[in-house]
Amino acid sequence: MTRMCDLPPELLEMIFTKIPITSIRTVRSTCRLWKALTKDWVLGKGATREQFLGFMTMDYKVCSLRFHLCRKNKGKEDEDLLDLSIKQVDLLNQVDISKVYHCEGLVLCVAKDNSRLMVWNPYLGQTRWIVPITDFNRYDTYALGYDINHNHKIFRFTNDINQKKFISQYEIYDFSSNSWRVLKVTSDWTIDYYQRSVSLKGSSYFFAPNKIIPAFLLCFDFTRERFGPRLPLPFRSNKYGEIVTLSCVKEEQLAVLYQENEDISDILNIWITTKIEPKTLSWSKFLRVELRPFALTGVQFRNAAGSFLVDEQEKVVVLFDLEGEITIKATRYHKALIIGSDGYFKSVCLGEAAKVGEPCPITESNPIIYCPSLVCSSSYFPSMVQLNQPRKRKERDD
Amino acid sequence: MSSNMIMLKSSDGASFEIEEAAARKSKIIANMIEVECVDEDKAIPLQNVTGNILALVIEYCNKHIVDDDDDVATEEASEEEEEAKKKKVDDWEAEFMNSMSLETMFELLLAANYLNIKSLIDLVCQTIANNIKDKTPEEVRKIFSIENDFTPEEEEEIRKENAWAFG
Repeated sequence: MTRMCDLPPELLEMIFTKIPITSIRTVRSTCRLWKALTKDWVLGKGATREQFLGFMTMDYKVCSLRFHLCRKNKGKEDEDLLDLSIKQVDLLNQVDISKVYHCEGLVLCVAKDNSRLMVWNPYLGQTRWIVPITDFNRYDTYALGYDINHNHKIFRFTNDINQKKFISQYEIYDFSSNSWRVLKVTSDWTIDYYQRSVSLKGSSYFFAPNKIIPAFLLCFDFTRERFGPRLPLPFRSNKYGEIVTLSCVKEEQLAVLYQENEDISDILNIWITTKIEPKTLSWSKFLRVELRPFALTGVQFRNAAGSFLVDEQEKVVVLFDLEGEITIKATRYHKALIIGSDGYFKSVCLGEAAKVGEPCPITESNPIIYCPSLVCSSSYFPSMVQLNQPRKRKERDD
Repeated sequence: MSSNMIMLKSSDGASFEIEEAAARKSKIIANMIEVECVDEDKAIPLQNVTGNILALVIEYCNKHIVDDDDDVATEEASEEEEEAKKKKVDDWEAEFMNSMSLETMFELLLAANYLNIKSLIDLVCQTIANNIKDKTPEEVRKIFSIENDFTPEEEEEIRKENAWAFG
């Protein structure tokens, strides 16, 4: 009789890579062999480094995402190995979540009604709800990071110049004290509310479009609790309608996507950093993609919608987008577009987009009726960071 | 070309006829065909695969070769059609896997690995993984007949790992 223990380790490992993030702990607690085989998971090495594991929101639900592409024989597509699977996280499906951030094993979820935040440790199965000192609002910018002592913090503010009546103070939440503090920050820049921060090695990076050319990046340091100097971008920005989106590559580098005014340009440019330090960084071009041959209906990589992943090894990017006409009646689809520099292109349909938003009462054609899926580009590996007030642990197998 | 038939022979002596295009799903068989070591009158012997498992492998390959042909023919398919087609394959795969025991799955996985059929390896691994998802370690051990071989000290260590707090 063939049993699980008759499978060679490489097949067991392959099975483990298909297990959702939320069940990693079960695998490690089952037997010695399984624990040994998944040792690298907790260290963030091995098989887990070849694939991307992370989180995203789709139709206001938190999903876990696994992406792995292996192009053994470039040009022969039928030999490619492509694994792109997205699973809704059952534990969190009671709540509508509008934004999700990840930093070193902790996941920050912003409730769609902006009433509260939730932090989740998927490995330990713990959650913590956080309420604000002053009301959260939909124009808030958030960042999740940690200081030099590995103490996680949340940074929150609104300074979008177009949303004047929502402009808020700068506040920081400390996990160890479970409380918010007000920070004194003076700024001569503004950050559009739809720009999402990217966490890298504990710090958070923001795209700050300014009335002053050129636009720049800002790094928020969670140890000093302040912004660093302006950091350069690899393109000249500050034209109307352009799209800029940040991402990160394997927790080591930043990536930036730039598209000129989407009505006139079909060209996406992506750079990744070659050097990144608190006070300086340098870029190199990763990919230039002409979208038109791929998307005759017009990919709408809109400013509020943009999110992407970079697979440096396979030289591809994965763009997440909505496809279909922007009208109230047509059905739209969540799509992942996998695009490489050598003309590689694959479109993966992630399912029909739910009509989750409210149509505009006047025009009835508000595109916000659909919500694009937004991926968090920081890759996951388990963390033992305890969230206070742990839920009663499930009965253990004594 | 695609209607070429080749013969496969299982370890317990059963012979199966299969379209070459379907057999090419297996990288091992495809390589054999490439280097022309397939004699048209002779069956390819597969020492590591029994007849009942080989029948399942062939059923899978036959199903997927048809679907791959569809892909080429309907490149311009609308989103709806694409969705519907994907769902059809997913449903078929779910049904296919649903009908087999865990033991059969392990054997099928070993066969798929030996024959190097990547998509079948992925499908079986995912199905086995689904049996682990959302279970307690005790339940997993029961399902897969795994002995809890942790010493009390190691059990304690795991408990600590799971309860370890920073700072």
